[in-house]
Amino acid sequence: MMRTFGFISTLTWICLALPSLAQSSTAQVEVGFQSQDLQGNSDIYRSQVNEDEGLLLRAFSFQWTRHDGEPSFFDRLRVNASGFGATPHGRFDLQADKAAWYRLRLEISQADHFNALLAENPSQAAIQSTNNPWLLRQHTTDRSREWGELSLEFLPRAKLRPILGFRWNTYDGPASTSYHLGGDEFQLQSRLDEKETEFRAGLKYVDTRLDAEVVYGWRDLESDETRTAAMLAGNSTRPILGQDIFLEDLEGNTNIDASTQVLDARLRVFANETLSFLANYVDIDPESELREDAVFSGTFASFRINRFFTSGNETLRTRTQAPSWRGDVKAEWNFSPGFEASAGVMRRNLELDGNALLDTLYLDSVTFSNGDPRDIREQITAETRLDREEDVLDLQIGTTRLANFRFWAGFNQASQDIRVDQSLAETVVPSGQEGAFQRDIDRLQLGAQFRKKGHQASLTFSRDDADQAVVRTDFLDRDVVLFRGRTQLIEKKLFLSANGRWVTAENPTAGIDFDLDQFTGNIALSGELHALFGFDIDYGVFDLETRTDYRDPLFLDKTSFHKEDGVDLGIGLHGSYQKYGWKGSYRSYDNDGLLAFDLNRTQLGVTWSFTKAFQAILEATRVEYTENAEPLANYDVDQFAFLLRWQK
Amino acid sequence: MSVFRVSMLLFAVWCLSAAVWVEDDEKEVKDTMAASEECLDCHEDVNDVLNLTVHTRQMQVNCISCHGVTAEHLDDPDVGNISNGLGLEAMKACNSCHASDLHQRQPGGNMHATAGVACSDCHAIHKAKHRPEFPLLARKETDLCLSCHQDLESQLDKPFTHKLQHGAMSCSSCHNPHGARGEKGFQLGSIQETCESCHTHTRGPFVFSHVSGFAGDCMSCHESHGSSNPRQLLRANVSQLCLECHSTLPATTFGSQPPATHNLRAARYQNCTTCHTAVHGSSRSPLLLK
Repeated sequence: MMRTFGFISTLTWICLALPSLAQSSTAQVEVGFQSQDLQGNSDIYRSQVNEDEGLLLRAFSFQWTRHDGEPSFFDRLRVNASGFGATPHGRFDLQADKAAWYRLRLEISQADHFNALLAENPSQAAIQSTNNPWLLRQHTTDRSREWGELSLEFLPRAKLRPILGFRWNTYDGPASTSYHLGGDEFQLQSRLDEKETEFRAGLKYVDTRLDAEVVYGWRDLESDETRTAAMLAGNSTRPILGQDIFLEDLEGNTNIDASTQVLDARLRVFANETLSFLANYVDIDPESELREDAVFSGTFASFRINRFFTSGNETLRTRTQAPSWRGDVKAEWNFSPGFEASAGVMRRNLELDGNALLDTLYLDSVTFSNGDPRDIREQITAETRLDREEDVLDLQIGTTRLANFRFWAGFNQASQDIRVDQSLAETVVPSGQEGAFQRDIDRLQLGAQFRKKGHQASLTFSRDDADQAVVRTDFLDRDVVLFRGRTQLIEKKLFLSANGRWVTAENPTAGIDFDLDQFTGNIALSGELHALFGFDIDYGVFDLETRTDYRDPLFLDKTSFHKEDGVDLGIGLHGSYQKYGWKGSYRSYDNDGLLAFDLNRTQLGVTWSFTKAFQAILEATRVEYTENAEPLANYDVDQFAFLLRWQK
Repeated sequence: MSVFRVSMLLFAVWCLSAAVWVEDDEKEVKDTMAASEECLDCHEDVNDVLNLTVHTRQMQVNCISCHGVTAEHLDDPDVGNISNGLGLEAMKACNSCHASDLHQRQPGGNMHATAGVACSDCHAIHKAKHRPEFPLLARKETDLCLSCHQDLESQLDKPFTHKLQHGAMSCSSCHNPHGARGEKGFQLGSIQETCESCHTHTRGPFVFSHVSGFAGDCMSCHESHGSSNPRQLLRANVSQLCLECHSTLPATTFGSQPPATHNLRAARYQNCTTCHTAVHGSSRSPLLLK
C-alpha cells in the first residue's frame, strides 16, 4: 500500500516532468488498476505477499540526454520508479549528471512490513484448539519502512572530487508484543516511531597511478516507542498460590538516541603495469543512550523478590558503546602474461561496553504468605563487555587465460579471538555465558572454468577446516562444491543451463554431533525459437538436512533434526504476433519438509499495441498457499490488472 | 514533512525548471562515431544503438576507444585481428576508464573477477536490452544475477523472502557485483552491517547484545534469500533454533542453558520468543525479555 501523499506526489512529478519527457530519448509509463479477490487466511497472505487492490504505477522510466552544448542543469537525467499504489513495495531512483560538474544519485524505497501468524511458532498452530487467546498472534507487526540515499559527487572529471551523501531510514507503525512483569508476560500494543539519518562528506582523488577516497559520516538514530496494555490476562493460565495474576493498566515509553561516527578510507596505488596495492580502513564508533519509564497496575507475582505486588513503576537509563575498526592491505601482481596473484592481510576489531541502571519500585507488595506489606525498591546495575579480534590472511593465484580454460586457487586463514565478560545480572544458569574463545579457520579454494563461444562451465571447490567451535552450530569441517554450466543448443535460440551447489558441514564433538547436508540445484531450458513463441522451463530442488545433539531444559539429551525437501518448478511461455503479445507462467514450490506446504503462482497476460507508443495490458494472477498440517493458514488469491503502457 | 516528501517536491521543481530551461532537443545528435567511420561501413547496425548509450552520447567514446587501432582488422576483417571486447580481455578496456569504480578488490573480495566473469557478461556495451536499467545491463538486474546464480531461484520462490521479484530491492541492495569489502561481496564490510543498514532497529548497540557479530551473525538464525519458515528463520520450530546453541553440552562452547523451569511440554515454553522478545539485543533485560 502506498501512502496517499506519496502517490499524489508521484503523479504530480510525472505531470511536471511531461515537458521534459517530450524531449527525452526514451520514456515509459505503465499505470493501471489492480483488483484482488482473497479467500482464506488474510493475515498469512499479508505476511507473505501483501498486495492490495487499487491504482498501480507499476513502472515509470525516462532517460534524457543532451549533447548540444546548450545550458541546462543536467546533460543526462534518468528516472525509474516502480511499485507505487496497490503494492507494499515501492522504489524510485534518479540519476542526474552534468559531465564536468556533478553526478547525482537518489534512491528511495518503501516497504510495508506486515506480520501476523496464527501462532508465534508455526508448529504451534495446533494450539488454536486450546482456545487460549494469549498464545495466538502474540507478536504482530503492521509497520512501514522508508529508506533512501542521496549521493552527490562534484567535478567527476577532475582529479580531486568532493563527495556528499545523505541517507535516511524511517520505521514506524503499530505492533503487538509481549512484556515481562513480575514473573509473567502480558500482551501490549506498541507504537514505534524510529528515524535514522546519516550525513557523509569526503574527498576522492583519481589519477592514473593512484586513487584514494576518504569519507567521514555522522549517523543519528532517534527511536520512540509507546506501549499500552492490550490484554489483561497474562500467560499464566492458573492462579499462583491462589492469587489471580492480571494486568489492569500499563503506560510505558522508551526513547533511544544513538549516534555513530564513521570514517571510511581507501587507497589504491599502481606501482607499475603489473603491480598494484590496495588499502582500506574503516572505523565505526557508535554510542547509544536509552531512557525508559513504565507505570503499571494489576496483581503480579515476582519470584525474584518473593512477593506479590499490585502496582509499580520502572525507570531505566543505559549507555552503550560499541567501537569497531577494520583495516586491510593487499597486493595484486600480474607476474607473467596470463597469470596473476594477490596477497592480503586484514584485521578486524569489535568491542562492546554497556552499562545499565534499572530502578524498579514495587508498590503494595506482600510476601507469598501475605505478610509484611510494604513497598520495595530494587536497583540493578549491569555492566557488560565483549571483545572480538580477527586476523585474516588471503593468498590467491590464477590464470587469466589458458586457451579456453581458466584456473585459480586460494588459501585463506582467519584467526578469531573472542572474550565475553558477563554481568552478574545476566546470570541465569551458571556457565556458558562468559569466557575467552579462540578459533582458527583455514580455507582452501580451487576453481576451473571452461569458456568457448556459446558454452561455458565452471567448477569450484572450497574446504574449511576449523580447530574448534565457539558456538554449538559452528562447523569444524565444511566442504562446498559449486557447478555452473551453460550451453547453446541452437545458436542464439536454444539454451540449456544447469547449476548445483553441495554443502556439507560437521562438528563431530561428543555432545554436539552437528551435521549439515544441503543440495541446491537447478536445470533450465530456454528458447527464442520464433517471434511467435519463446519459452523458459526450469526445475530446481532445495534439499536440507541438519541434526544437532543438545540438552533440553529438563536435562534430557536429545537430537534436533530439521529437514526441508523443496521442489521448484517454473514454466514460462511468451510470444507476439503483429499487434498482440502474450505470456503465461506457472511457478510452484512444494516443500515436503518439516513445515510442509505448496505455493503455486499462475499468471496470464495479453498485450495489445493499439498504436506504436500505446499498449493495453490485461493480466490475471492466481496465488495459492496450502499448509499440509494447518488448513487455517491456507489462502488463495486472484488478481486482475488492467494497465496502459506508453513508451517513446 | 518527511524527507521523502521533500525530495519529491524538489524533484518536481527540478523537472519543471529543466523543462523551461532546456531548449528544444530536436537537433541531430552529434555523431560521435565519426572518429571511426570506417568501422560503420561494415557495422552500420551498431551506430544507431550506440548513439543512444551514455558511452557515445555523453562521453564521446567511439569504436577505437575500446577496440584499439584497427588497421589490421581493416585489411583482414577476421575477428582475431581486433581486440574484440569479449571476456576478460575486455576488462582492460573497461578499466582504463572505470578503474576508480572497480577499486574494491579486497582480500576475499571480488569473486566475480576471480571466477572469470567479464564486464561484458553483465553489461551490454552496444545495446542495453533492458533499457531503463543503469548501467547498460544486459537484462533486468535480478534476472541477470539469477541467470548464473540459478541455485538461488528456488529460495526466492519460497513464501518468506526479501521481495526481489517485486522490485522493492535488488541483488545490488546487499551485494556489490564489482567486489566489496568483505565476503560474498556485501555492500558493507560484513553481513551484519549490511542487514542493519536497513533493519536499523536491530543495530543497537545494546547493553545486552545477543549475536551482533561477536559470535555468529544474522545468518546464524535467518536465511537471507528466502525461507520456508516465518521471519525467514532457519528452523520451523523456534525453540529448536534456540536450543541448538543454548545448551551446555559439552560445556566448552558459548551459549547458556535454559533453566529447568522451562518445561517444553507446556505451550508457553515451546516458543522462546514468547517471553524473550528482544532477541536482537536489549538494554533493559539481561535475559532479552523486553
